[in-house]
Amino acid sequence: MKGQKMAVYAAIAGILAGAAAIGGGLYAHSTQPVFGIPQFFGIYSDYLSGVHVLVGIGVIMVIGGLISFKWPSVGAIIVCLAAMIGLLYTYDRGEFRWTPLLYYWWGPWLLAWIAGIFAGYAAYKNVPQSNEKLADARHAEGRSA
Amino acid sequence: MTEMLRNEGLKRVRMRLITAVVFVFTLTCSGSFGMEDVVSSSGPGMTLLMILFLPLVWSVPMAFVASELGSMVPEAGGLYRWIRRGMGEYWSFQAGWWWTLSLYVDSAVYVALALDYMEAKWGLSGGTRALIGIGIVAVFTFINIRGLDLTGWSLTIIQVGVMVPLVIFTVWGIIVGSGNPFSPVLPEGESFLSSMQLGLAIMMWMYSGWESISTLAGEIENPQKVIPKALMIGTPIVIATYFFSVFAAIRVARIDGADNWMNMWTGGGGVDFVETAQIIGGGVLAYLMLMSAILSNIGLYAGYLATGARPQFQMSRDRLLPKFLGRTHRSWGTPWAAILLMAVVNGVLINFNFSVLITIDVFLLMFPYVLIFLTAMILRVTEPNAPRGFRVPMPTWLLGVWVAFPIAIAIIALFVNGTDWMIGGLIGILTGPIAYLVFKNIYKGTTDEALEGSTITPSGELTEFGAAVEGAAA
Repeated sequence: MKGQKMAVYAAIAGILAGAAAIGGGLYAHSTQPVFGIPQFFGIYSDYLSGVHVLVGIGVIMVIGGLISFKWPSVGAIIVCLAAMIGLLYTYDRGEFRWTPLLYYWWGPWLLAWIAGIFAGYAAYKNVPQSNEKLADARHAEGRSA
Repeated sequence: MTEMLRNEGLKRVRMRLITAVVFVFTLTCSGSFGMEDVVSSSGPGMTLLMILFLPLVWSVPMAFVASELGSMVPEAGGLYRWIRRGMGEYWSFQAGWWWTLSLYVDSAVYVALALDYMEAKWGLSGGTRALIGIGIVAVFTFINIRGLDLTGWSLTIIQVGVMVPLVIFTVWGIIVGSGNPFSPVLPEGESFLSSMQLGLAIMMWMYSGWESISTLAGEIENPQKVIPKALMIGTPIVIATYFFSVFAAIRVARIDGADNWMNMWTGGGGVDFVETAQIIGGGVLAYLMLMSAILSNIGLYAGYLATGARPQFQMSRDRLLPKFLGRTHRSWGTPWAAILLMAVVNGVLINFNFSVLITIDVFLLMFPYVLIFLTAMILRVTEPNAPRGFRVPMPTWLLGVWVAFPIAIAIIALFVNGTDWMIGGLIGILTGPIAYLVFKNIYKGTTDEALEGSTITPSGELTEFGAAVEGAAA
């Protein structure tokens, strides 16, 4: 029961993370339609500019959040991975520096981390710990139980 | 007597106090190489003041807290086990994961630095550099798997090699150097705070590592006595080593001009310890200091290979990482699989440019530090009467005030290392929840009751389960 509560919190945090990223993207779009260098690992497209990245990854995070209601581990992993990819865009790559993008990622990153924490607690509650002592002994020795 | 299952298979060695002090010294100091950068960025006076006073709010609290927690929970894995007891499975996994990930990169850095010193002196080709690097990793992997006895001996020999040239240089430098090493206190145009900030990250780095020896507690006899004593003895030795050697280096640098401290940095072209040794002792002392610098980094590698492998070993025992990491060597009683995995990753990393990975280091170390301090406070409140071989001699509220300083400093450190470091750290932090969710769902974790005290009765007799384990182990 407590695990389910945690899963709901994880889902809400994941959805908020996505909403923060999308909101950031829309705000950036209102001030600067193509924000940053629109390329990622050699692929050039306006859809890879900061604005689109924020909105695109935000949508993925919202989907991850929604999945968390049912499967908190899977959903939170999607949310956290999306935040990691978003942060990769802010790295100093050669002459391009997208650090202004970092300001937009603070909120989504923090909320994604919180989603991961809640999902972790949900997993702790939902996945029963092993209490098979002899099996643990063999596990400790590196043998199969 | 049957060992607790959690530590089963590990061989406990009788570590002499002097060896434990060498471990502490290696993990927290291992010479003063790297301090040169603080002098040129923060100013000579500020550097010396930070060497003297930063420990009071950074490393001494950690040394004391590590002593208290280590004497309360004297088990392999150290900080991972403390946090598990205080904050539960989730946060202990996070701390163990971040700390281990950080050390995987960090330990490779030390080999790379040793190779950089060699390359600067002897101009190694790429192939030679790779071979020497892999050779260093291989030798210390074997030594570590062979046992803490041999690791302790090798660290002792290495530290003699580090300290003899450093002491000669320090004494000689103080005598023949010139000028007041405290002057100027700050670089021109810098405020007190900005000057401190410039060198703070490096200084924190130089003064970290106090929790590391605790990870070996499962393989030391009477760890609850030996480790706190070693930490208490090691702390002033480390401060004195930094202070006097940097004091001497500044005086020596000034022989070539009062402002020559501005040129003190490492990494080529600057006045580092080797260069200052050249000024007063010529080629012979410079060569000795070069050897000292190389040995210093090799010692750090050997030490961190030993300590870095233990938390993942314990996490495997807790069924939170793949089971092979929980294997111990049948004869030597060491977690050979965890050591070997770390060594293989190190061997790969040193042959590539892993500068991007280094950026995750600071963040991933600072978060476990914060969790360690919080654990100390939580356990003081939740288990006030639990036996502690060493107890920080202050009431809980005062301890809380004291540890608030290093927690604040750790948080500040997250923001003063540069943007790329922050981004790398933020990405690294998110690997923690992901790893927990993946491994928890695969391996399930285990209850503490299943691993502790279940093989023997309180009077020391073998339980039915204990007999079964003995049978399984036979």
